[in-house]
Amino acid sequence: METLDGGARVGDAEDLFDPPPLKPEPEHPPLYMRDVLARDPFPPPANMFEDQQAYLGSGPIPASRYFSRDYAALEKEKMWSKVWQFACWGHDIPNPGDIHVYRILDRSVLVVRQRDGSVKAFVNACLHRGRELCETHTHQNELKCPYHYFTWGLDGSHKWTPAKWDFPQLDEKKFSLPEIRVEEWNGFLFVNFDTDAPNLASYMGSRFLDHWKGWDFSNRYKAVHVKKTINCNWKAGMDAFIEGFHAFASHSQGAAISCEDIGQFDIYDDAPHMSRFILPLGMPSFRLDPRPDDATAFEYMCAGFLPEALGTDEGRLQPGEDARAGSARVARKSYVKKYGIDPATVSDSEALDAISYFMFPNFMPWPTLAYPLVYRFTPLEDPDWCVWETMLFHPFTGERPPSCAVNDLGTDGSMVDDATELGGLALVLHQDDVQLPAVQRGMKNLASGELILTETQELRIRHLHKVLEDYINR
Amino acid sequence: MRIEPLGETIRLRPGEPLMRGAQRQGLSWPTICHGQAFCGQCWVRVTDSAEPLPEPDAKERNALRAVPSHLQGPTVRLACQLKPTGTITVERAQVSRPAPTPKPEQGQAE
Ligand code: FES
Ligand SMILES: [Fe+2]
Repeated sequence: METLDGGARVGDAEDLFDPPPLKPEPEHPPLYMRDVLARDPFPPPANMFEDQQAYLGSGPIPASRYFSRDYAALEKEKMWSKVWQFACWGHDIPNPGDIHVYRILDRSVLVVRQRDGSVKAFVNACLHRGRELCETHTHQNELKCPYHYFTWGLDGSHKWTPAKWDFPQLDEKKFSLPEIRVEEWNGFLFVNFDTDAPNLASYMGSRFLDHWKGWDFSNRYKAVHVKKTINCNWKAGMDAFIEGFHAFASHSQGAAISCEDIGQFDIYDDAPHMSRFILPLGMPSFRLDPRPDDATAFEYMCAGFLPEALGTDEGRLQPGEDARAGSARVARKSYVKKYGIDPATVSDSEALDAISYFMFPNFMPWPTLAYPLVYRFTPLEDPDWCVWETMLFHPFTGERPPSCAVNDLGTDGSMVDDATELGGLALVLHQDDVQLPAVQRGMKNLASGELILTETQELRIRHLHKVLEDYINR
Repeated sequence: MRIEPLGETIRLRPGEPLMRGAQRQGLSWPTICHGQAFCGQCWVRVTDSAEPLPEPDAKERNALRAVPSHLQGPTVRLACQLKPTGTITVERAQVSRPAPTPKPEQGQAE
C-alpha cells in the first residue's frame, strides 16, 4: 500500500495478498421455505403456506426519503395523522388510573385505563394554556394540569377550574378533553388521530386477523422492554428488521444455524398494511462455504436451547433426524421446561423459525416462541433520529406477572453491556446498532441518490415504501 | 503452526495472523468477513503454545462474542487476529485443503 505522495510504504507486500473470493451466488439455493415447511415432521399452521408474493418490481428507492425534512413533513401530515399506530401494551396500564403517554413526532396522547376497565385516549394538552397533562407513564386519580391545576376526570370530563370567576367565557359542560380513537387487538392498544379512518380490524385486514387466530397473547406478559435513541431514520431502522438479507454479513454468528437465504417474504393484495417473513432456523446458510454438516448445526442449536443436553444422548441427532428436526425437538423441550407449555401445540416452524409480521407503520409482532418479539421504530422530528424499542413477550402460567420496567439506553447505552436481559439477542441488536448510524450517513453520500434492493429478500422494504407513498399521494 | 484434525504443519511469517498464513498456503478457512474481526467464524482452539499467547485486543475481544457461547473459552481465539510468536497447535474441524492445491509460495510448508 502506498501513501498518497508515493513516498514511504505504510504496509508491506503482504498487504497485497488477495483473500480467496467469496463463493459465487448466481442462483437461488436448491430449496425454498415452503419445501422446508412441507417436510417438517410437525407441520406448521396452514397460514404459513400462504406465500403469495405480490411482485413490486426491481426499481430503486430515492435515498432522500430517509433524510429529507420535506419528506418527513409529508410523512407527518399525510401518514402519521391517518394510520392506526401501536401505542402501548394494554397490560402496561392494568389498573384504573394507569396512564401511558404515547408520543409521535410533536403529538402526544394519554392512554388511560378507566374505572370500568375500558381504555380512553386523550390529546395530551391542558385546555387552558396547553401544558402537557402528563409527561411520562404514571398513575393518577384524575388528570390535573401541574401548571394551574385545571382538572379533568379519568374519563376526560371536566372537574375543576382554578379561579373560575375569572373565566367567564368557559362552558364547563363542553370542556371535556378531546378524545383520540383507541382500539385493542390481542392485548395491544392502537390509536388513530383520524376521526374518519375505518376501524382497527378493517385496517389490519381479515387475513392478518386470521393468521393470528392461533397466536393468542392473553397468556403472554411483557418480560423485556429495551429502548434506544438511535441516529438513523425510522425507516432505515425498520428496514433492518423486515429483511433477513443482512444477517449473513451483519450477524455472521448465526450463519451455521439460520438459512435466511431461502426465507419466505409475503405481502398480500388484500391486506395492504401487512407484510411477513419466515426465516428458517436449525439449518445452516447455503451461503456458508464450507456449509457445516447437520451434526454441527444441531450442536449449535442445542447449545442455545438446551445446553445441558450437550454431550448426552439427547444432545445428539437421533437416527433419521436432520439438524432441523433435532433442533425442533430440543427447542420444544426447552419451552416445556421454561414456560410449562404443551409441546403438542408447537409445530417445528413455530418452535424454531424467525417469523416476523409488520403492521404498517410501527408494529412488528413476532408470533412464535423462538423469538417472542415486538419491535417498534418511532420517528423523531429530526429525520436522522428515531427511537428503537425491543420487547419480549413470554408465556406465563398462573397469575399474570407485571410488565417489566422500560430499560431506556438513551443515545449511548450499549445493547451488549447495558441490556443483558436480551440474552442472546443482545449481540444481534448490538450489531444492528453499529450498522444503522453508518447506513444513515452513507445514504446521504450516494452519488446516484438511490438505494437498490433485491426483488424478494427486500420485498418488505419495497412494500413499506409502497404503503407510505400511497398515503403521501392520497 | 500445527492444525488439527487436518494434521498439517505450516510456517507463518513474523507478525502474520494464523488465518492469513493458512490461506496464503492454500488452506480453506471458515470465514465470512475475511479477517475484519467481525464474523467470528474463524475461531480456533489453541491446544498448545511454546510461547505465551499475546492477549486479544479490543477488536478481537469484541468479535469473540460472535463465537457460539458453548465454544467460547480462554483458549479460543480468532485465527484472523492471532499472531503467535512461537510454535503453536490449534484445533478447528472445518479447516481443509481443497483438492486443487495452489502452487506453493515462499513461507512453504515445513
Ligand atoms: S475472519 Fe471474521 S472474525 Fe476472523
Ligand atoms: Fe440485524
